[in-house]
Amino acid sequence: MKPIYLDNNATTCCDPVVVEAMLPFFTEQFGNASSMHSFGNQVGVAIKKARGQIQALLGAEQDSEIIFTACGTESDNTAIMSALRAQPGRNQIITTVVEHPAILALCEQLEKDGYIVHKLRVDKRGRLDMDEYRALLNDRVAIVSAMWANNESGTIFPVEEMAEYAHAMGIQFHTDAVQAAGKIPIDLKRSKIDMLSLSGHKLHAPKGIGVLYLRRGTRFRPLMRGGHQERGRRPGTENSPSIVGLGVAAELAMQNFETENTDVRFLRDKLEKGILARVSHAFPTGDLNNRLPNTSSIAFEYVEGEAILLLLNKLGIAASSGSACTSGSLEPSHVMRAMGIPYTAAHGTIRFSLSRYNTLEEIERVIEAVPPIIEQLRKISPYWNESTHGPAANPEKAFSPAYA
Amino acid sequence: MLVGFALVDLHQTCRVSDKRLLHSSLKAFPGMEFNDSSHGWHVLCVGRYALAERHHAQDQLLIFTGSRFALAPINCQSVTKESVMWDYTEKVKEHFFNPRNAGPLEDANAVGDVGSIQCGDALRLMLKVEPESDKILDARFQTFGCGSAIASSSALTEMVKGKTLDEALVISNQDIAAFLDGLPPEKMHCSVMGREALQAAIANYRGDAWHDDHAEGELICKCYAIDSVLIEQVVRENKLKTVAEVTNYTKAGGACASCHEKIEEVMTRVLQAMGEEPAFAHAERPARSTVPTTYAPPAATEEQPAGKPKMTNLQRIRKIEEVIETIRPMLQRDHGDIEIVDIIGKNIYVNMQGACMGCAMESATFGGIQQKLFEELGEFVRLLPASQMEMTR
Repeated sequence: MKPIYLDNNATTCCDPVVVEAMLPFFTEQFGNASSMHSFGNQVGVAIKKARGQIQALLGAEQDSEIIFTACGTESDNTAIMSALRAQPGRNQIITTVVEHPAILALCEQLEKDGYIVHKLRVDKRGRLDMDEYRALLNDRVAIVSAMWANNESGTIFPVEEMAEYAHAMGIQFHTDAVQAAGKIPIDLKRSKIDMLSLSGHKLHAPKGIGVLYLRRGTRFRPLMRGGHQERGRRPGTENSPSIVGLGVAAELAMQNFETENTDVRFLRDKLEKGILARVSHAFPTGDLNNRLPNTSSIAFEYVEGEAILLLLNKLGIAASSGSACTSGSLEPSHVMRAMGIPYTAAHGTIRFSLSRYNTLEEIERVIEAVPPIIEQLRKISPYWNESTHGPAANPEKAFSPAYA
Repeated sequence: MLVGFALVDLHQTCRVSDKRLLHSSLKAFPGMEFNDSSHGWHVLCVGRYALAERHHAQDQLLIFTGSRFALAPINCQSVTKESVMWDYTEKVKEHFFNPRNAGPLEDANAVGDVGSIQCGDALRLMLKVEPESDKILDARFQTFGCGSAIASSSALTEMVKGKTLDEALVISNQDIAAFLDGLPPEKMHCSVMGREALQAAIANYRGDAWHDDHAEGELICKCYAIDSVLIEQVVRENKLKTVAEVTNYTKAGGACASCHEKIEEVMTRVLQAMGEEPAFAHAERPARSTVPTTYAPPAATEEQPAGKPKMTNLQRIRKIEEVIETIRPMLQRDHGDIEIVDIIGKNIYVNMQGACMGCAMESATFGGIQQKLFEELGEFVRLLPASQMEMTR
């Protein structure tokens, strides 16, 4: 049976049209865009075109505001480090507890280096408290970095509003829009967002290409020093095949924007409703009324995520989990814990993330496949009572290990 | 997965269960030759070793050679999410997809609960023991956990059935892993949980109190599962100044090296509290590497390092005693000990005692102590078990 891929927030397949557009840049169009001769010149033209396509997707004022990087992580790191280096008088960062490790791990390191990091908490639905945010803004803050949409729950943050407040205080604002781009409307010229990160492989472009949007006039310091490429803001010979591929992918994303918000959303809702109607003691996580159209994160209580994934994988279904076991750490997903999801459910959280390539038939197959898997695992769970088809009476106490 | 190996003396340890595990594990390393003769290289043990047992230790390979030994970590694959996720043996998959003896056992008279929902692993082992014979008539389990946790639980129930309690208590977590043809390094703790559940169930039956002695600290070295508590302890007690020294004492950082930064942080914290500073505090004084990367034949290192005045025999013996004394507390913590029997030329003969005796990590322990002696004495010495005195004379 054909495998079903529902892990598009992890990465997406490269669109065949994208691959086709890239191929000549490995062969006849191999020139260095910086060269004077015709080999390079044509590549330079292709890169300029791609820059325009990204500009259109993001609604940027000018194409020079688009800087090509190697990945979302590089864009995130560049943004934060630039804000700190360009404004030595400011030593504070505001971010959120549910950011991607590309931000959180960097902030952890910066704290060790003496910077002050404020992490905004989220409520049970993964939402920020705007009053808490506004109270933190002060003239020692160099940058605010908040993700546009969360990779695990799909919850959308009001980054445009947040950017307004930051701007009013003269604070730079960065957003990690790796999950949001192509799925929710972005019009940067009408916002006060100074920097934005984007990653190619999340929108059907290849891996190894990313973008940092840098608003014209924003004080900037490059992460690396070197040649004049990307106006010295990101030196290093351009990854021309991938840049061309990302340009095409951006154009496709714009064309499919409606599909993402109608067809894909329909399939996601059908999947979520279908599973929840058939499985008891399961609930969706995140802000259900304000989230990415392709993402559904369902917590299955009293079972463990990796075991679910293994059984799904056997049926050719790919999803991902917030369970500790899949990452080799002992703590479940920081996003689920931040939302106060109890351990009994956090370990059993499964994220289904769809794309425009998924079909109704696939979704129906998944809806049929999930309930028996959960039932099978609950049968052998010490937190589950098979005779009552419910959790063991007082589940946290029913199982009282000699140590915890 | 190959995490590291040690070169040790062929004559020291050879355990049947390890050999069995070895053969299945070697299939994963087609380039590695298994030589059963008494010459040349010998791969002897694959499994988890007692020294690090309390810390959810990992698979490792001990490579034995004819008559010499040295401890040598090699280039190791770092353990990544991708490589671990589906890296289960057929046997693990079999026991996960079709678990044996799953579900509650109504008339159980021995129940062991271990793990916790916080860690994402919890196991309840239920046994039906015949009081007259102490024989385990039936065994069932309930597990909340990942694929390998369920497979380990299933394997455990199959292994204990029909055994007496005393026979069952001998089952080690390596045995559980061996039953499943091995577990990925990051999943070895699942087999540990199985053994602990067995101990807890038997303690429950016998009315004994069972308590676990897990160290609770931040996990620093994921390859060898060493936490901050152990690292703090060895740094404090031995005033360790370099990451390489920490690796020699605990194995932490000996494999993929991604935790070296964290180890340095722990060391800095501990040493500063003691009013000391780590060797890496000054950039102009690079940390010396104390872990040999290859086996150096004794002849090559026999020269006296320049700058160190030669010790008298008495000074040298006292120095050796001093070094051994600093190491004893570490061994005693693992319920072992060491005593010097004789010093003949470059050979230092010792007796390993208590838990160190026959411990599968003995060879690695020897390597570590020998390394420490090299450093302190500034000369090459060989640490040998006293049992070899006859052989060498």
